[in-house]
Amino acid sequence: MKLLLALGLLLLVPLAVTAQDAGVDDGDDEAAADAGTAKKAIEHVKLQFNSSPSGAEVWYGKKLLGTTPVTVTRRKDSGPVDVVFKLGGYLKVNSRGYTWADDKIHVKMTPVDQASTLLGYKKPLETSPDEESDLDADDDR
Amino acid sequence: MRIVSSTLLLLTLLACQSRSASDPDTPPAAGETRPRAAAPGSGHAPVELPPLGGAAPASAGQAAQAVAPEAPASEGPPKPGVAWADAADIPESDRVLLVVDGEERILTRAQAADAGYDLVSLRDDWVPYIFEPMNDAEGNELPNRYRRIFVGLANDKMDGDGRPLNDDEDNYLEVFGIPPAIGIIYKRFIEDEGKACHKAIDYDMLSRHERVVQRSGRSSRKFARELAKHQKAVDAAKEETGISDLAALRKAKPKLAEAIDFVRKAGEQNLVLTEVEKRLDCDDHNHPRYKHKPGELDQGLRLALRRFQRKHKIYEHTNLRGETMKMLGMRPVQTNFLDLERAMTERVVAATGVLEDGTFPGKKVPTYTGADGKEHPLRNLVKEFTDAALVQIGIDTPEKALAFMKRRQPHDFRWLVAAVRFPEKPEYYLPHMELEVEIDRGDVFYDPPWTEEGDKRKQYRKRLPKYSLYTTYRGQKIRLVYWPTTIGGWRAEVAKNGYEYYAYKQSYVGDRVIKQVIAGPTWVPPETTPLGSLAKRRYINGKAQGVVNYGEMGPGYLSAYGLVAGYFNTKNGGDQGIRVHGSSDYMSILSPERYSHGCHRLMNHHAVRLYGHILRHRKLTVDGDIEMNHSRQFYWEGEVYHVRLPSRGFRYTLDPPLPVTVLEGNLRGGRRRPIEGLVKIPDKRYPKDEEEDGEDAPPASQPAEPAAPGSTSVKPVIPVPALPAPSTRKDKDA
Repeated sequence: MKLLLALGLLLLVPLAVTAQDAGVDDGDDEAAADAGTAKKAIEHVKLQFNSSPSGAEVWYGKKLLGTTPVTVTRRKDSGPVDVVFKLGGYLKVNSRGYTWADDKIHVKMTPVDQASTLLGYKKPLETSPDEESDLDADDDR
Repeated sequence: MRIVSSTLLLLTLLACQSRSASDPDTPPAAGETRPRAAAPGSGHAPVELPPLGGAAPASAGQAAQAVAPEAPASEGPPKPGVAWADAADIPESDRVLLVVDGEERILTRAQAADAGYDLVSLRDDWVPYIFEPMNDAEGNELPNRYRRIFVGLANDKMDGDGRPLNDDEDNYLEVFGIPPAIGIIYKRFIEDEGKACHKAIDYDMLSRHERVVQRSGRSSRKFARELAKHQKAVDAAKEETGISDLAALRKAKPKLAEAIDFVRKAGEQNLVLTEVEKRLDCDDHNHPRYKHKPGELDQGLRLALRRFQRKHKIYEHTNLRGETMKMLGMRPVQTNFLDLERAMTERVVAATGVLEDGTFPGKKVPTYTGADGKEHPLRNLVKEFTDAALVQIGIDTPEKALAFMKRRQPHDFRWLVAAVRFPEKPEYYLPHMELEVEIDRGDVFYDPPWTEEGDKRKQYRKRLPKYSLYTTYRGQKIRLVYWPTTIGGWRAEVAKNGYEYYAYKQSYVGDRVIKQVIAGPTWVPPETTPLGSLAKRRYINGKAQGVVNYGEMGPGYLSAYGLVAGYFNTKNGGDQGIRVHGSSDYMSILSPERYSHGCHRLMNHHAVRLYGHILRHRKLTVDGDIEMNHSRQFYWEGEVYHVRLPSRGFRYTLDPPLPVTVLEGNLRGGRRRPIEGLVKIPDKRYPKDEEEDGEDAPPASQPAEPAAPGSTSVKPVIPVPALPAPSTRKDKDA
C-alpha cells in the first residue's frame, strides 16, 4: 500500500505542478486521467490569448488566467477552453480556445458605445406619441 | 489537496487497471497493424488500424504456427484455432473469435482471412466507416478530429466537446446516431443482472398496458373531479353492501357499473404508473433535479422518460404509450439484447457496406431481373447480415447474449473481433455502383402558415418527403432505400436591422449533384440565423458565462449537419446551401408539420450508413480535414460572442459526382410559387421606419451559408479497383 502511495506521488506531483504553472484549473483533466495515459508522457498544448487593445482580463469561469497577451498550457485533447475577455469601457467577449493543437485566439474588443456596429445589434423600438396615448387608453380600461 | 486527490486517483486506476486498459482513448502501440482488406468499392484502403492491446505483435505466420489446430482426433474433425482459455500465446491484436458448434475458439487474423471469414468488430474503439482512418497517397494517416470524440461518446467517456465525463454519467446518444460501445452494453447486462430492484417490478402488468393517459391542466382537473364523484358513490355502495371486491360490487349494483369501471380503471392506471416509476428509478433515470412527484404525470417524469427513450432508441414524444410503453414492459435482459442487436447492426453495416433495410414504398416487395433472367426480390440485407452475425457469434437470443456477456471481462472489448461468414451480396453490388439520389418533396405548401388575420393556418401534409437511393443494374433502376426526410418551409430569419422575420426556405426542384461528402461537418451559420440560437449560458469552471452554441455548429451529433453531410451543387457548380445530412432533430423528420431550412435531413444513423455505402462504392478523392479558420463576432444581450470554427470537417470528393433529382412533389394550397424575401411575423413589433416604408421588410443580411470552399486539394483520385472474383469474398472490416 505504501509502495503504491509513493508511486502515485512520484508520478503525479510533476503533473500537478505543470497544471498550476499553466494557470488553468486542470482539475477536470486529472479526473479524466486513466491508467493508460498516466503511463505515457502527457502532451500539452499552448493557448495564446490576445486582444486588441491588449490588457483585457481573460477569465476561465471564476479563474483569472491573466491579462492579454497571456499564454496558458493545457493538456492536449482535453476539450475546449471557454473564456471571457473583459476590459473597462468595452463589451465582454466570449471566446473559445481549442486543445487539439497549439491555438492562437485573437479577439477584437468593441467599445460599449459602438455596439451598434456589431452583427445582431437591434435598433431599439421607438414608441410614437399616438401609441403612448393608445397605451394610456388601454390602461384606463 | 491536489496531490492527495491525484494519489487517490492513481490508486483507483491501479486497482482497476484491467478495466481502464480497455479505455478506447488509450493510444495504440506504434507499428502494430490491424489486418484489414481494402474496401472493394471505394478504391481506397482504410488505414490499418493499430490494435490497442499491449502485447507485442507477432507476424501472422508465427501466430499461425502457435495456434495450429490441436483438437484430439477422437472428437471428430479438428476445430480451427485454439480454445479461448488457451489463447494466451496469441497477441490480443491478432485474435479473432470464431464460434464452432457453440465453442468459442480463437483464430489468428491470418487464419480467419485464409478461411474467408469477414471480421466484425466488437471493440470499444469501433467507429462507422465514415470515421475510419484514411491514408493519403503517401500512406500517411489523415487526421480526423471527430473520430476520438465519437469513440469517447460511445464509451460514456466524453461529452460532445471532448471534455471528460464523470464516471456516473451516461450519454444515451443512439437516437443521435452514436450507438453505445459493446463494453457499455456489457455493463448494462451485468449490472442489471445483479440489481434487486428489477425483481420488484411487475413487468407482466406493465406489458399488459399499452398506454397510461397523461392529462394536464383542465382535463386533469376534470378527471380528478369525476374520480372523486365516482369514488364517493362506490365507497357508499361498499359500505351499504359490505362488498369490497369491485367485480362483485358491479354484479350487486349494476346501476353503478359506470362509476365502478371508472374507479377500477383509474386505480389500474395508478398501479401501472407506480410500476413505470419503479422501472425508471431502477434504470437510474429519475434524477433528483427532475423534481418528479410520485404518482404525478409531471415534467419530471417526462424528463426521465426522455432518458429512457434515448437509451433504447425510441423516436417518440415523452408519453406513456406506443414503443415507449412496450419497452418499459420488457425485462432488462430483453431491452439489453435489443440494444446489443442494434449496436451490432451498425457494426455489421460498417463491416460489409450493405444498405438495403427493407424500406420501400407500398407493400409489395420490389424485384429486379438478375443475370439469370429471373426475378429476384429486394432483400433486407441489413437484417439478413445482422442475423447471420448474431447467430454465428452465439448472441441471437437475450439468454445467449447474457451468457456471452457473463463469460467476458471488460478488457475483452479492447480487442474482440469476431469471424463471420455473411450471405452472398446481390449481384448488383459492384466496386463502382451507378448510384443516384431521388428526393420526393411530398406535399408542398407555399402559402404562409398564418391567415391575413394572423391566425395559424392548418397545413397538414399527408404525403411526407422521402429520400431514395437507386442503383442502376442491367438497365433497371433498383431502389435500395426509401427513408423519411425533410424539405424547407417558413422559418425565422434575422434581417440587417437585427429583427426577425419569416422567409420561405426552398428545397429547390431539379437536377443536382453531390460532389463533396463531409464526415463530422461544421455548419457556418449564415448571418440571417436567429442569434438567440447561437448563444447560451453554461457553467464553466464554477461560474455561469456566455458561450457560443457550438453544439449547433459542430462538428458533432447535435450540429445542424449532423454526423455527415453531402453537399448539393447545381450543374454549373453553384451552391445554394442545400445538403442531404444527418440530423439530431429526428422528430422534424417524422412530423407532418415540421420543416427544415431547405436541406434534406436524415436520421443520423441513416446518414452514417448511407454515406458509408456511397464512399465504399464510388470513385473518390480523400481530401482529409479541411481547415477553415472561420471567425466572426456577434452581439447578443449585451455581450459579444466570438465564433471560431477551425475546420470544415473531413472531406471526400466524389468523382464522378453523385446525381440527384429533387421532384416537385404535390403542390397544395393556393400559391404555385414561393414568396421571395422577408415577411413580417404576425403580432411582432418592428422599428418605425420599416413599418412606414410600405415594404414588407428589409433585405436579409445574407441569403444562405457561404459555399463550401472548392476542392483545391491536390490529393490523388483513387482509382476504382478491379471487379472482385466471383467468390464468397466480402468487404473486410474489424
